Amino acid sequence: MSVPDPDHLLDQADRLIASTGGGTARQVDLRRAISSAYYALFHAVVTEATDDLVGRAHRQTPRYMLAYRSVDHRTLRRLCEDIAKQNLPNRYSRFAPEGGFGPDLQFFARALTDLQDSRYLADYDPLFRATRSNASRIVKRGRDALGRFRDANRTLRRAFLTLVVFQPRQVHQDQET
Amino acid sequence: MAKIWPVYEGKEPTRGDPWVDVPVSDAIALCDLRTQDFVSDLSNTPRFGDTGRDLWYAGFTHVVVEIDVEEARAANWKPGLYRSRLEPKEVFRRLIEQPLVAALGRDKVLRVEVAPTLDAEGRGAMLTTIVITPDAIQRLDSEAEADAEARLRERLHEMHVAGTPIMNFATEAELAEDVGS
Repeated sequence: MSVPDPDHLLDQADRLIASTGGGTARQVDLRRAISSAYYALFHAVVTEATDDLVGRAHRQTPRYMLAYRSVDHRTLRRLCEDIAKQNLPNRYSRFAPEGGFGPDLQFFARALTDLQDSRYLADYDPLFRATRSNASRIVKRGRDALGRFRDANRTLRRAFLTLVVFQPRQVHQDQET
Repeated sequence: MAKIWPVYEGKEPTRGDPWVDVPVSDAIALCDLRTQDFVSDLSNTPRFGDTGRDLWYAGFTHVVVEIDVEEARAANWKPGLYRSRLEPKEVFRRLIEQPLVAALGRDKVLRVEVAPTLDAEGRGAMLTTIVITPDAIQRLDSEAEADAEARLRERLHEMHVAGTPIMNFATEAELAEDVGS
């Protein structure tokens, strides 16, 4: 399995933005650039989570593909929305790092949510008007977020990646024993 | 502090809380308030339009600023309620613009436009188009952008506006472009 390289996706986005030089950019190029920037973050998370779980050495196996494809956009978004909050919801209390996920992962989580919303508009909303300015800032934010993700403390990152793959059950407190 | 209230016409002018509680000087600027906009003292609730009917379904039609006694004294204004000449939609837009300008800088932000949209989850969201100066995007850093987003969320929360804000940056030239495919 050849996993998409997040840096290549961001480079692709740069090329699409620059492709029309100084003239009016094509909407399809700008929209695709925004989409690629989001997918750079998505694939960065999913690749590392699956490498952790199945092992990088098994990237060519169906088991790797099964784990890789198990992560969906909605689950990742909800986790990122929760991590970005000042107080983590109770369901994470037993699984989250003691001091929270830290500023790097919070920065990443906010950026991912922003890029996912922008990607949704870019891919599906005919009323959305993509601009070179906005596509550029989205790619920049994506690149910065990817850097912060890679720089994040490894223990915190692994806690985050575990929650990407395994979501805590929503159990009522009186049922928890 | 001064409270900025969005107001309905009719019998029941307000429901719930004011949009924001901000320093008097901010309220005056945001609502283009003048001393002659005074409509009543603090003990009387001003009502507009047909005061015998419930007209909340028509949406907000006025903006009223409440300045209490102490704040009024400090600002050298008469305490009471003032009706802004601005439409609620314009005051709302300015309230969204304020935290974005504070975070990104007036040297980068020309104005802000808002429009309803949907987020990636299909929930109601607010597309916030930030119209920037031609070179602003090169001078914008991700930390300031994240700060702007956080301040905007905080403002929406304060105003009890549900939904995710989605930021979209554009220059005047880009907005004027005849976009193709």
